[in-house]
Formats: sequence, structure tokens, C-alpha cells
Amino acid sequence: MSNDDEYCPVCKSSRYLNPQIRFLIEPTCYHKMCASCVDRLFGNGPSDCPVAGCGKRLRAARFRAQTFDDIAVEREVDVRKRVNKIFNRREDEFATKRQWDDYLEMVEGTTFDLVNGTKKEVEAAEKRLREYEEANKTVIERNVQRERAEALAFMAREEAEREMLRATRKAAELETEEDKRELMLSRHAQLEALSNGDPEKAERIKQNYIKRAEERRRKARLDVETAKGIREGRALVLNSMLAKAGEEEDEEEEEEWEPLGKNVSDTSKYFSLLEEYPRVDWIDGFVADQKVAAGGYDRQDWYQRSLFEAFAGLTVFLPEDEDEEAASKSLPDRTDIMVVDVPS
Amino acid sequence: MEDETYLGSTQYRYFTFTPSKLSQIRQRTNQLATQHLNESIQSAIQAGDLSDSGQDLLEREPLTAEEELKLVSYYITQSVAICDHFRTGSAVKATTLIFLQRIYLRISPLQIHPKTLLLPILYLAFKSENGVTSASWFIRTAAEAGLTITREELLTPEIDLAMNLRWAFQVLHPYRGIEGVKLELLAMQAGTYRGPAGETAPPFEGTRDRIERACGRARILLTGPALCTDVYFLYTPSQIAMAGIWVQDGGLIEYFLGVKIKDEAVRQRLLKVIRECGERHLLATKDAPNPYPGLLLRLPQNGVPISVEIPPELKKEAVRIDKKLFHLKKPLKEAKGKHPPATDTSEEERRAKKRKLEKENRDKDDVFGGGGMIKRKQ
Amino acid sequence: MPTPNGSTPTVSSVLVPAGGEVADINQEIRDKYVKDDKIGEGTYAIVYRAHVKGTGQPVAIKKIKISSASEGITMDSLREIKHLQELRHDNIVNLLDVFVGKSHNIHAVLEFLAGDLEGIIKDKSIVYGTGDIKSWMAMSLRGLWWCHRNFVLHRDIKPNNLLYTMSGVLKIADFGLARSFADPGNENMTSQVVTRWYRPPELLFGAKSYGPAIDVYSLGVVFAELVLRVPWLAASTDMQQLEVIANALGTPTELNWPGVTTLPGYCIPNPDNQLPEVDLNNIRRQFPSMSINGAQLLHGMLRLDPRKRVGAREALESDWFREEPIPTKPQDLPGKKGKEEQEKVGQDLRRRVGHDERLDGGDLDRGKKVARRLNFGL
Repeated sequence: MSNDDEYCPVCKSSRYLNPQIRFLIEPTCYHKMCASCVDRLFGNGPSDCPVAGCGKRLRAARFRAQTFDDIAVEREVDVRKRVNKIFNRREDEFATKRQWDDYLEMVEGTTFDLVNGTKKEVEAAEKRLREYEEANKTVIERNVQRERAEALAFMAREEAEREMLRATRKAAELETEEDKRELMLSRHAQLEALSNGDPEKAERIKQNYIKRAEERRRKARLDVETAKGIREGRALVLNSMLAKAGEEEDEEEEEEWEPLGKNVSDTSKYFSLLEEYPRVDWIDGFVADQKVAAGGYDRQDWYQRSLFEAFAGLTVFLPEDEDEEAASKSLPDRTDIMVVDVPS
Repeated sequence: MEDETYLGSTQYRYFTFTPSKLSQIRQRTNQLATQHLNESIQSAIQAGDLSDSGQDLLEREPLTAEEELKLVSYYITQSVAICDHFRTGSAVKATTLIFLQRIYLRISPLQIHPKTLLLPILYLAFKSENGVTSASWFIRTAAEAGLTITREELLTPEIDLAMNLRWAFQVLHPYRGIEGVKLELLAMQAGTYRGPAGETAPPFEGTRDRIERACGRARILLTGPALCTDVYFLYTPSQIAMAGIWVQDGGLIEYFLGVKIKDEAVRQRLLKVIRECGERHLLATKDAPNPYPGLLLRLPQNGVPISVEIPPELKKEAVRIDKKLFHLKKPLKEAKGKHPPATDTSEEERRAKKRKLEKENRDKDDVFGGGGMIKRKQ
Repeated sequence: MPTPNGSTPTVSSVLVPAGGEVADINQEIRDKYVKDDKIGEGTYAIVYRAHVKGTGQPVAIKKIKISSASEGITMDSLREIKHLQELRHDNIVNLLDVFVGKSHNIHAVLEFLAGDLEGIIKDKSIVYGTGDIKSWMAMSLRGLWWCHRNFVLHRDIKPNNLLYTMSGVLKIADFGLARSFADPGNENMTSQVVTRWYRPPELLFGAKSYGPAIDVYSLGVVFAELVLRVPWLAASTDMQQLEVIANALGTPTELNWPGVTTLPGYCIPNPDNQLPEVDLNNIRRQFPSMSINGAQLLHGMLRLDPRKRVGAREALESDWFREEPIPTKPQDLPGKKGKEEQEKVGQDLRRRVGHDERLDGGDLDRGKKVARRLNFGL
């Protein structure tokens, strides 16, 4: 982009004349001029574009450096940036592929009109843009949050990844260094023992070294795992937050944790299980058998069950017959198996 | 919390009634079955399959609901004997008897004779309480008592039995509750009792022995004679347990409920229910009046386990009723012989004839089949 | 067994004559549902998606295959029906109805469930976080608490049996191995229960008397799997399983588990490298992504000695549930709740063949990889 032939259309100075020259553009009309001209022309407030035939109202603050060689591209990219800030939906929000494609087409259409359209088309497109923005404020906001959270998550992941690599590298380095040192010491000691006529001692020293080396290796592996784990842990928590960020803002208070769920209680109104009950031979004998207790059989479970069954339905009363007289009349003679009916 | 669980149980939802409702159900079953029987005879007459002219057949005295109940009760006692032979233990025995009672709420002996279902029901109870049980072992054990049954006869009715039981296999038994009451009483006696809110109990008058004796006897009652009554249909298992103990030692229960239930009104009502259950069903003797209308099952309590002594009046009645039943259904057997249904294949026919022959042979000896159900162990 | 109308007795005509109340009820129930399509099939049952005629509410109908009428009711179906009929809870699958179909098969109507945790864990395109894990654990524990409160052991807890509804609520399903516990008279249970990877050490050691701690252990292993997203303690034989457990949690000895050596199948799984029972720090090292409270909960659920394990109730009191991030609301939980999941439902609700296959555990499945969405501009 730094073309030596470039010159400012307003003051006609070039890089040859002013090596520090910087060119800026304004996104309203995309006309280029050097920084000193911008300062001179617009330093005291907005003014008209000096380029012949343009005359659009420009502001110093809006001037910025050009990113692309082709000004048309620059313009289009700016348009897209603006449009995508509003049309920021995602594929998973659509039930069918067709709907997603339709949305994409709508976005492209609007963008195209804004970039290449006639004045009328541009106006219509802007209108569409504004209408969509109005109608979908919440959705847009939500997706903005999502993107933000995703960016955070991404960075955090990178960071954790980097740390893990760092840890691995460090561990490997340390290990080799230490290992080398120990090997030398061990060999030294072994030789000494051998020269003193104690081969067993030498052997022991050797074994010792091997064990220690093993231990070091294991520890190193563990550290790597830990770093990995931390990375995963962060990932899990971040995922939760991501999910939350993507949600609509709910006006909910913090709910207190109820272990058994809402409106569920496990209090008995009849009994409470005591720590100890008086001796009951047959069950005591059963539990005294070691393999019964070791298997996880708990005598308290039996007590609990007995008590539960003792009271289940204790005060459940069946609806009594409204009118016993009436009831008895509609039935045959009262029968009572133990009273032997003599057939009439 | 216990009450909630109980209210959600199938026992409460499907098989607990007021006395009049219970009676109504049995009446209706009897009516429907009689109707059905008559209709079948009617069509057999029209098809010209019967030797007798139809009319007097239809005018025979039908089986009454009471007679049905008596017959079923007799077979319940037989079932107790079978359970003892199988050494089922309390759980399977109790479940078997209750299954039997429940099934015959909506099925009449006119449709199927109880003796054919005793073994299948026992087998189902085994499965439900204990888990897998080898059919071969079962058939062999049955044979030892002189009861022959084929694998097919054992397993084929199962699905229909389940349907009749409304797929409710869990039966809550009062005898388990006795353990719980005993525990609390023992704690009260030892002075270590604490209630749900930490309250203590007033001092207990009596020895540990008193508690053990009452509860022990109550357990025998509830794993024996009580199973042959209608209590399961009319009271909650907890109430039955209390009644069982009350019958042995009323003071114990009054003391106990005094500690457990603070609300005076509720306690009085509960005591009334318990007394009623005890007096009218568990303690009932031949001479005790039964102010309750309707078809209820009660058997005289002599304090003796039911398998050893079946009330002689009941047996006599059962014999009479069975004969009546036999005669009511005889014409149809005749009709069946003459007019095999179109759906029969030759294979089915042969099997059906074979079964009929077997049954007739059995029936020749004794109305109950097989010369007395169980060979009494001497 | 001759019947009133003399036709050859197909079972239904024997016990449930047309027009009988039970047959009517059965017919009514059958007519309530309209079958939509088949969503799965196994050796044990065929699963259909169906809906309630009037309301269109989706349900799953499990049609249990029986090879012939002479099999009777299988233990699996009996257990499932028996327990689901009595256990009603938000986090336990709801058995809506049972009926007998035209070909004399048992149909169990269950609420419609969209998928299971195994599907979520394996599908790497589904992202979930700590809050979600908490939510699932809380719901599983509550369901388990209710089972245990009602003295029922599930005996087959694993991700495959933890299903969720269309609105994300988790339900414990598959009660085919369930049974009641605590009755000392009934404590001679089989130790060959629970799928191997989730089976607690006491069962691997052949214990015949055990308690609710077995389900808590299984759920603990599920907890670990939710965090790791791969099966944690996988092995292909019982012996290997003990080794894996010993290496991860410590070698069971008299020191950390008094009485363990008396268990029938006791042995030292890793004699050359015996390890002490892991403490909290060790668990934290194995699961570094967990907070202290989370690791403490996990540790408590995985104690070697079943007497030392936390109970479901106690687990729910863990501070882990109270700290950030809080458990996700069910409707916000991830999971495939669309039509593709019907395949899964079928797979989940069916049973695998034979005993060994059941206890084998699933197979490892690498999840799909998903490209990251690139973002230009901004």
C-alpha cells in the first residue's frame, strides 16, 4: 500500500515531499486525504468533503487508515461489519436448513443492496435493517453475549493449552537433568561398593536408582495429567457459563437448593429411627455373621422397614358406609361363613 | 410420609373397600357368571346338544354368592396346607392366600374351579416374592403331595391371573409391621424410646416378656388364620397389625397409641377401627354376632393353626356346594362332547377329550378330586 | 379344563370370559392407545412409539415377546411391573398401564422418554458442563432415594438406564432386576447383578446379603463417567474388574473393610501392587477438574466398604449442589429431544440377550468430531 507515487488529492503533497505522510479515509464517502489535511480541514468541527462533486459532511473522528488496497473492498467490508452486527443469528436457531438458507439469503440480499444498489435500493435496505433491529433486539443482544462468552472461552482454552505444554516441557527437562545426575551418582556409588567387595550393596544401589527413576517418570506423567485436568475443568465451567450467556435474561431469584426437590419431605410423622434398639435375638444373630455385615446389610434398614410398615396407613380411614341401614337392605341376608346356613 | 406411600400403593387403590362395596363386587361377579352359564346352556339347548329338555335346567337353583364364598374359603384353607408342604415361609404363603382371595373377587367358581388354580397361584407368588423358581422343582414337590400338574397347566393361566390381579403383585403384609411395633414397645419398656419430635414415653408397666408374648402370638395369628379372613380388603396393614396385637393384649395397644397419637379424636377413631377389626374378624367365634352386612370371610378362631383343623361345618358345606356346582355344569360338558367347536383341530380335540377323561376319573373318587387334596403327613 | 360354553379353553376364555369386568377393563386400556411406529426391537421386547387416543400424548409401549404361552411371565417383566406399579416419583419412569394384547402378549405402557445419558456422554457433539452434571446427579439421586425409601434395590444402575423426557427430566428406568431388601428372612440374594463396569466390589466378592449401597456405588461410577466422558472402570472379566477397581480405588483389606475376607468370593485382586484405599486427595488427583466438594461426594459414593458409603439422602445434602455453578434446570439440559432419538429410545428400552451379555457393559464409541465455526470480521 505504501506506494511512493501516492499523493494527497487535497494538498498534493506526497511521500517524497513528506516522508511522514499518512493517508486516511472517511467511511461516509471513502475519499482519501493525508492526515495534515484532515486536521486542517476538520480540526474545528465537521465540514464538507473537499473532493469535487462530493460535498458530504465529514468529521475528523471518523477518519481512519485504509485496510485494503481496493477501496471498493474496504467499503464492502465496512458494510458487512455493520450488517453482521445486526444480522447475527446462528444456524442452530433455525428449525430447518431451508429457514437458515432463507435467512442467509435475506442477509446477502440486504448487503448487496447496500453495497451496490441505487439510492432507492439503499434506502429500502437501510429500512429493512432498521426494522429488523427493532423487532429482534433481544435476539441480537443474546447473540452478542454468546459471542463474547465464546471469545473468552477460546482465549481461556488457549491459555490452558499453553500452560499444559509449558508444564510438559518443563517436566521433561527437569526429569532428564535429574535423571542424568542421579545416574552418575548411582554409578559412582556402585563402583565404590564393588571395589569394596560388596556386590550386593552395588545391586541394591542399582535397584534403588531404578525405582527412583520410575517414580520420577510417574510423577511427571501425573503432573501432565493434572495440567490436562485443570484445562478440562476450566472447560467444563466455561461451558456452563457459555450456555448461560446464550440464554435469555430471566428475572429469577437464586433458588435455594432443596435436596429432595420441591415439596418433598422424608420426615416420618410417627417414628424416628433410634440409634440403638433393645436386643432382638434373631436379627442380632443374623447380623453378627461377618459376611452379612461386610456385604453391606444394615440392621438399621430392617428396623426402618419394620417401622415403616408398622405405620403405613395407620390413620388412613376408609369412608364409612353412609347409611348402614340402607346398605344392609340392598343385600341378601348377612352371611357369615362360620354360621352354617341350613339350606332352606 | 408413610401414609402417602400407602395411599399410592396398589393395595390401597385397587383392593381396599368398604364392607358394602366388597359385598357388591361379589354379588355382581356371581350374577354375571350365572348369567353367562345360563346363556351358554340356552345356546346349547337351541343347538340341540342336550338330552334333557332345556327348561328345567334353567330353573335349577343357581349357586349363590354366599355359596361361592364358602367354596373359595374352603380352598383357601386347602391352600394353606399346600403352602406348608412346600415350606414356603410366611411371605409366599401370605401372598398366595391374598392372591387367591383377590382373584375370586371378580371370577366365580362357576367359571373356573378354585382347585385348578391353587398351584398356579402359589407358583406366581413364589416368583413375585422370591424370584426365579424352577418349574420342575415345583412340579416335583407338588407330586410329593399327590398333586399332579403339567408344566402347561402351571404356566398357561399365569397371564390371566396377572390380569385378574390387575398387575398388582405387591401385597403389603401386616405381620411385618408387628416387628416395628415390637421394637418401639421394647424401647418404651427399656426407657430408651424417643418420638419423632424427641418426646419420651410414660413409664411402661410390664415386662419385656409381656411384649414378646403378645407380639409373638399376634404374628402367628397374622400369618395364619387372619389370612383366611377379609381383613386385607377392609383395613390397612398397619391397622391389622395393631388389631392383631390388641387381640392378644388390649392394654399394650392402648398404651402404645397413647404415646404415638396425640390427637385425641384421631386416636379414638383409630382405636374403634382396631377394635372392630379384632372383634369382628380376628377374634370371631361361632357365637359372636356379626353386625356387618354382606359377604365377608371369617373363620372361627380356636387359636389353632388353620392347616391342622378345618372347621367341620365348612368342609361339609364345601362338599355340598361342590356337588351342586358339578351338577350345574354337567349339561355343558355333555354339550361339549356332542358338539365340538369349529375352531378345534384334531390335536386339540384329542387333548380336550383326554383332559375330560382325566377329570372324570378324578371326580369319580371324590368331588374334590384326587381322594382328598393332601395326603396328611402322619 | 372345561369351560361354561364348552369350547376348547384358550387361556383367556378360561379366566376372563368375554363380558367379564376384567376383560372389559383390559379392552378399555388397550383401546386407549394408538400405535404409531416401531422404534426398537430386542430379544426380549419390541418397543413402539404410540400416543393416547384422546390427547395425543406420546407414550412408549413395550410389547414383551414370549416364545410360547407355556413360558408364563418372565421374571424381568414381573419385577418391572411389580415395582413400577408401587414406585411413583418424578425421577422414576412412569408405568402408565399394562394390558394383554390380542396375541396374548403383555404390553407395558410407559411414558415416552427421549434418550439416555449414555447417548449424551458418547456424543461428543453434545457439550455439557458442571451445572448439567449436577442436575443429572441430583435427579438420579432423588429417584434412587425414593426407591431405597421404599425398600427396593434397583440393581442395574448405569448411564443406559438413566433416561430423560422431552423436557429434560431424568428418570431411572429398567427395573427388571429390582427387588425388595432389608428383610433378613430374604437375604439370600444373587450377587450376579449390575452390569460389570458398575458393579460394586461386594458383589464381585459374591456377597449374598447386601443393601442400597450397591446402587450408590453404581451411580458413583456413572458420576465419574459423566466427568470423564469415557467409561472409567472398564474390564472384560470379573477378575479383571476387581483389579481395575483395586487400582483405581485401593485394595480391599480387613483394614479398610472389616469382614471383607469372609465374603464367599474374596481374593486379593492386585497382590503384587496392593494399594491403600484412596483418600480425598487421591480422588482429587484422579479428577482434577472437580471442586473439593464434588470430589468429596464422589469419594463418598465410591468407598470400598459399603457401610462407609454415603446414602442417597446424604449425598443430596452435599455442598457440591449448593456451590456455583448451580444445577441446570431440566428444560435447559442438553440432549437430543427430536425425532432422531426415537431410535435410541427403542434401544434403551429393550433388553439384551442372556445373562452374560447383560453384564458385559457397552462398547466404547468414539464420538463424532465437529468442525469449529470460524468467524470473520468483528
